[in-house]
Amino acid sequence: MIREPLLALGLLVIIAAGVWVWMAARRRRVMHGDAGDLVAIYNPRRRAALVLAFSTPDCAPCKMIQRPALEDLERRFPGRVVVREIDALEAPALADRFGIFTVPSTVVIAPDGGVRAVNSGVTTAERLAAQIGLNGLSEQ
Amino acid sequence: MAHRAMVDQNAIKFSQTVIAVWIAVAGGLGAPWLIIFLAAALAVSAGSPGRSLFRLLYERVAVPAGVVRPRVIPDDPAPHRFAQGLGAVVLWLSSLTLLVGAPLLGWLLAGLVAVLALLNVLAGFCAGCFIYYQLARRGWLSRRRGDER
Repeated sequence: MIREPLLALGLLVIIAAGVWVWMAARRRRVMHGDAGDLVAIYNPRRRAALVLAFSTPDCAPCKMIQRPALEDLERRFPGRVVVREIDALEAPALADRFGIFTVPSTVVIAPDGGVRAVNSGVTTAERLAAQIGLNGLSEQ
Repeated sequence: MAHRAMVDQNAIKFSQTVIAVWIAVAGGLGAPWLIIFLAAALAVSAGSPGRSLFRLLYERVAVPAGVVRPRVIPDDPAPHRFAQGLGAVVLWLSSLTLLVGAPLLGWLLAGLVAVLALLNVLAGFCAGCFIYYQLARRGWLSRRRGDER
């Protein structure tokens, strides 16, 4: 009786594993890239980490959950992080460059242009701070 | 002053958890009628949130028992209702395929709903946002200009 649900579960696990491998490969390719050109544009003083926050105008979690988290991050670590919100539909080339496939997504770029992380879905201020390397530093 | 709608984010996560657990139990018992019941409950929830079974469970059981605390923030309830409607449609398709004798496809569709619900709860991944974004970037949806920061 439960043979089909188990088969379906197995298929879902295989599909999920395939998606995970595909996403990991995309992320690895992006993480080895250099985003120094974007740092020069968005963060020319190079004193802070850059967070690119991809959203769309109709994305409710982007405005209601992700944006407050980014504002919280900027408030807690002034001068150490620069956030730039980008409409993924207005900048498809930039979105493709980082393999953005959903919104909200965030890309963490170190002052030297190294890509530290690409997050799909809502990401908390604490997680972003850890990816930037701000954990353990005193908040202001 | 413009009125801003408020949405309890934990109520949404609670209902998604209930949906995922419900589907897992239905699969474990091999009980398609549980999927049909869930599809109906989700359809009611999307169409008339005031009569939602999940809301009832949340407000009358989970919150009073201290299992979860409300987290109400300004938000647009429309996308959440859309997501529930989408879940209901997929579960109705699942029910239909289970009834007409294609159980593997039926359970696969139900499992997909459970996985997407859990992804939202555990990883903040919004399936509705993903679908919208993929359709819009291919030009299959018209879009309005937003409020860039």
